[in-house]
Amino acid sequence: MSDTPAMNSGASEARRIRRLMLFVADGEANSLAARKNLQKICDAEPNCHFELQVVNVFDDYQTALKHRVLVTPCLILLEPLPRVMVAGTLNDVDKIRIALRLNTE
Amino acid sequence: MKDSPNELAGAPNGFQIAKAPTGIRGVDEILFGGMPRGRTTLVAGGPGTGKTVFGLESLYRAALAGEPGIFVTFEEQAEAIRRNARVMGWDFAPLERDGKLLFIDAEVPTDLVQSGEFDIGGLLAILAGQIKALGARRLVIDAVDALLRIFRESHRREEQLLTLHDWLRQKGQTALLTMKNGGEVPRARLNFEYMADCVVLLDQRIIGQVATRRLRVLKYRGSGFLSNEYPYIITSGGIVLLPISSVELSQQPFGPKFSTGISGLDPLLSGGFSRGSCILIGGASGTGKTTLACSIATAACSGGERVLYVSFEDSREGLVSMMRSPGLDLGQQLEARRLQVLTAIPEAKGVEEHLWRILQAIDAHKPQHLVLDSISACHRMGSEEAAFDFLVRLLMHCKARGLTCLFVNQTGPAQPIHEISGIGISSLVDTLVVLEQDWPDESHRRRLLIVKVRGSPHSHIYHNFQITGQGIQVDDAAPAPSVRQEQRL
Repeated sequence: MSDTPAMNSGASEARRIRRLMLFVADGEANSLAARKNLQKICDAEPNCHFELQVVNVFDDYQTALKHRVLVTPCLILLEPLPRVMVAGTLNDVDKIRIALRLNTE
Repeated sequence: MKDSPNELAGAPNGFQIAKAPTGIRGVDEILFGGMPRGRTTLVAGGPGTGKTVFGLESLYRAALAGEPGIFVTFEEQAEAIRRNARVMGWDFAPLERDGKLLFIDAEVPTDLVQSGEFDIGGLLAILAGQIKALGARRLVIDAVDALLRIFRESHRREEQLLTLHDWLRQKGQTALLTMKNGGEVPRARLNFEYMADCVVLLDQRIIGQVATRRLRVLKYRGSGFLSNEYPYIITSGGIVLLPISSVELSQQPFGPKFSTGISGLDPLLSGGFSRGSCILIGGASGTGKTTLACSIATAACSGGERVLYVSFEDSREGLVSMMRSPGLDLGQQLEARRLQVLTAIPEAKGVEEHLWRILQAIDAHKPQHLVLDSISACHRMGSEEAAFDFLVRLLMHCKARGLTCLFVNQTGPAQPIHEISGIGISSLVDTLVVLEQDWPDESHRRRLLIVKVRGSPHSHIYHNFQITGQGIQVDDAAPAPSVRQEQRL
């Protein structure tokens, strides 16, 4: 999950952007918790630009199918690559920060 | 070989649950019509038992019959499944184009990061959407254990399986879930066996170095089923079960007599052999068993009938050339397509494959008589048990269709004639002819004894016979006592 040194040096500006997709089952407790937890993590990172798209799988199953999202809630880091998939309420802040590579800034 | 329908869950007040046929040969008979419609069936088994093929075939047959269905695959890629299916001769492309069949590639991510609770909501949303889009009524979820592996605690796995089960039921889908035996999720499977309305277990074991697959129905809520273990094979056309039922073994009336083609032999049998009966010709090597069998076959073919000759001993060419010496022209009958010779090496295949090949030949050739040369070679299919299984099922298949079965059995020189039928099938044999030989005065003497003929009078004494350039000739004269017999006494 680590970038090569070559990529690090060239893409430091681009890496400050995080394209995220959060797949939720609207109205369900775990999904509500995931939205809240993700919001907290994003708020604590003012120097990073987050592009977050929330997908309610009941409204848009095709996007879930496209990304092979079998479980909800489920967070996908689309960019920068490599892609990361995180399942659950995102309650472990440190774990999520590592998964989204926010600590390496 | 008990084969009693399980009456426990049988319709007590005449209520019959709706069935969804699997379309798999033999399976619907065992399930009394098929899977429970709108309910969940679990197909469990170890690796290589054909769980995926089972699910796929049921869905394919339903789609062909116009019932749309969805195949969800967690382990294999849909493209690999399509490719494997083409080997079976199944072309999914038109069905997929017409919206009768849909594959959902749901490969489980291996690098999923987990933080806090989650459930299979994504899968259910996808399924709900696709079921609606397709108007699907059938669902196969292959390797559901792979999905469950995402969940680390066993109670979560069971919970998710229960969620899935309830959801499928609520959606009214005729669902088939496959699950591996053992592995990481045995507890979930055991629990699911309680939940599912119908549980089919597939099993593969090695008996005498030959792989044998067996199917057993563990339970079927609201329906009876046949409760035995049933052997099955995966053929080039899908799964085939060849159920055996002891009920079928009950005495069937024989047809009229037919001539053996050997003028001296017919009178000893009150006119010949009975159609649809099982005839066993036993004897040591060199007594003329194959010659006798070929004489009978040639005579039947000359009368315009068809014979399937299954040879585990000789090649087709070998048989044709061997029979020239007693004046039998097998080549002519082969050419006229009245005779078909099927050769096989017993140890090359399992019982199921052998049986399947012969049954296919019977279907294609539609013979009136079947010759099996020899049943002693059947031991080489793995074990005595395998040989017995093979013979009984072949015999039953033939009897049900009114075919005469002519079994040739090679016995050792010291083997008493009462054991001559071999492999424990003596009770199924209707007519037993024993060939013997000795060498008095430095000449090769052969003689035959008709040990039994069910339902017909017959000769009870030894008759000498010769193999001449014009075939077998049975002596009219009363035979002299044999040298060997005298020595024994």
